[in-house]
Amino acid sequence: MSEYVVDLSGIRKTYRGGVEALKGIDLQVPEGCIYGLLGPNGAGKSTMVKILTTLIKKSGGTGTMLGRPLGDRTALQQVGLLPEHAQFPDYLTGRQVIEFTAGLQNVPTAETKQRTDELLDLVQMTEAQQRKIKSYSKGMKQRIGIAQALVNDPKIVFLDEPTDGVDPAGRRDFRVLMKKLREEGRTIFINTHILSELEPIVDRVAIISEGQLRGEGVLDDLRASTPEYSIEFEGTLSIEAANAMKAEAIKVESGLITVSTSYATEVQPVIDQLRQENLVIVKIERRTQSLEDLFIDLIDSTKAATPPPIPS
Amino acid sequence: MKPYLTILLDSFRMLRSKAIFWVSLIITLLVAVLYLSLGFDEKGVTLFFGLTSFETELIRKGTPSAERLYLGIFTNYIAEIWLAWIAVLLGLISCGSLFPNAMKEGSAGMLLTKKPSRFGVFLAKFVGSLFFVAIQVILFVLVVLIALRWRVGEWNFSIFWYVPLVLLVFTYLYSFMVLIAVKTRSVMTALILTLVLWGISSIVGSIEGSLYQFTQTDTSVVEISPSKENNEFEDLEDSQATDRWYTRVKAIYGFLPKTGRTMEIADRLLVVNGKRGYNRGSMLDIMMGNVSQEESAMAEATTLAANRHSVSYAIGTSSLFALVMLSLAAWLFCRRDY
Repeated sequence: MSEYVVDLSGIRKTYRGGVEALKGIDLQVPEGCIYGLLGPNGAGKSTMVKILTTLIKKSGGTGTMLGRPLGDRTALQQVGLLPEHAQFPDYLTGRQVIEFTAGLQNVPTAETKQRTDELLDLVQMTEAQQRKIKSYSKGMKQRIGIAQALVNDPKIVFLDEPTDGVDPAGRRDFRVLMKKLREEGRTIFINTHILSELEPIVDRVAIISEGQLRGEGVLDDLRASTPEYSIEFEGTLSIEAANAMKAEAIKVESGLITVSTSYATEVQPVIDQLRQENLVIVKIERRTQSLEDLFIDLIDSTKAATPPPIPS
Repeated sequence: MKPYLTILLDSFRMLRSKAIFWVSLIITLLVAVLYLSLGFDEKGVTLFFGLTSFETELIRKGTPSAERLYLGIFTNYIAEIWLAWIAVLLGLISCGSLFPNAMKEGSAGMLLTKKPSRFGVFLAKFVGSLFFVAIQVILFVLVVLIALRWRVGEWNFSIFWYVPLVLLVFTYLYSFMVLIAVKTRSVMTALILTLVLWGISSIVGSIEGSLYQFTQTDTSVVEISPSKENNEFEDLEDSQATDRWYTRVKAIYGFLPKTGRTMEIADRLLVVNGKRGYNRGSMLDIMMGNVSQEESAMAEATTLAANRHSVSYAIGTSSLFALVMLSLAAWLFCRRDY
């Protein structure tokens, strides 16, 4: 049995008409982590989630989910899903939506009531539970969507664009909730294009573009460039000091010095030099490559590597 | 079992949420109450719960002809028009969106990623759709049962045959509608094509019925008119040509759902004056003054024409049509990507 909750090898999907949405994806998702699947529009992210949740049949490749072959209904009983553009029946109340999913997943009736109460509390929808879905805001619907995805006490939760249309306060609550779910030992698979939402909470990411995996792993390992310290100051640095710094590959500009290093101790001589020349240090900042930078770098490198079309 | 009951419960909730469900339920009850308002007294027939009446010696309270007339109004007009056409049409309109809505991107994700298999979901959704027609027809027949008890004086439980028969008619058409809906995901396309099928089926059924009567009459003319010696050969040729046309039309009709024939089966199952079988022609007999228990030649001819297809042929071939349509729809529903 695979040690991963999701273990995919060479997953391909070709739609009718020959459009290749996935061109052989290998992916391993460890248990109990927050896993981010990133990619531009049309990259194949949703296709991937749909294959995992049986909404789409793969054209090729093999894979397991929770130790069972893809498509196994027993495995699906331990899976929660909030699909992209989730549409809940508007004649149901928020509570009924959660109970509906519980019924579909064969959750015992007594357990359903208790879990529904807990989940409504968790997503802060207890007060609005008896209102019809059609009266909910987008953010409220997403909260109910997350709650229904958890009603069967799933081992793995797929969230496809979960913060789409959610206000900033709702997004903060979402991040807190994701961390809580991870602490409970669940694996959370988030499919999103809002990178800033993912960066503070994600353990591992996979970046796909044009149906192919461009990078996968722990975020810090994926970051290609070394962190850098930037020091902003007022005044003019002496030419001798500037030349000495440049000789040590330190970037010196007007009012700004940038030191590429992971270690703060290597920045101390620069600060000492500025103090010695009585220059006023305005700001010192440690900068790492953001997830957005990483994402754009990977996508750009893909585009650069793709040969231009041959003119007919 | 619970997941399938959940889908059925959801279908019921969906129907309950639709205005058309309540509107058609109210109209159904109004039609039933209107029927209930018709009665008989010692002088003749009363209308609108006795608000108005007209005297007749032929049809009075307690006479066998009263029961035949009362059942005749039900079978010839109310069941024929309301149950067989309008209730089924309202059912198709109401349930038309059920499959296309379930197949929308966000909805399919909610429904098809859970424990029940796709085939199970398909069947549960289909059975759930039958609720709409079942509820309407059961309520309607209940009021008619009360009306018959009140007006004619007996509990005629044989009218409950209308419930499975109307459901069968709905199933024939709805199975085709589901196939189109699953294929195109368009409610309007599915509804229009289903109405076209219904129209074609009814027209072919009428032509088949007319040709049947024509061939029967033509044959009898040839056989009983030896005086027409000069025209005998031509008559025989005409008769053979008509027979050929009848065979062709009957063959085509064999593949189509027999909505009209299925509803007519109810006539054979109804119990009137203690006897199984109701003849629609007998109502005409009563209106023309023939109130005897014996059927006229016209009534017998009507019975003969109505019984030209066996119950197993009418229901069997139509159910086969529905089964093929449903199988194709289920196959498409189960194998497609969402």
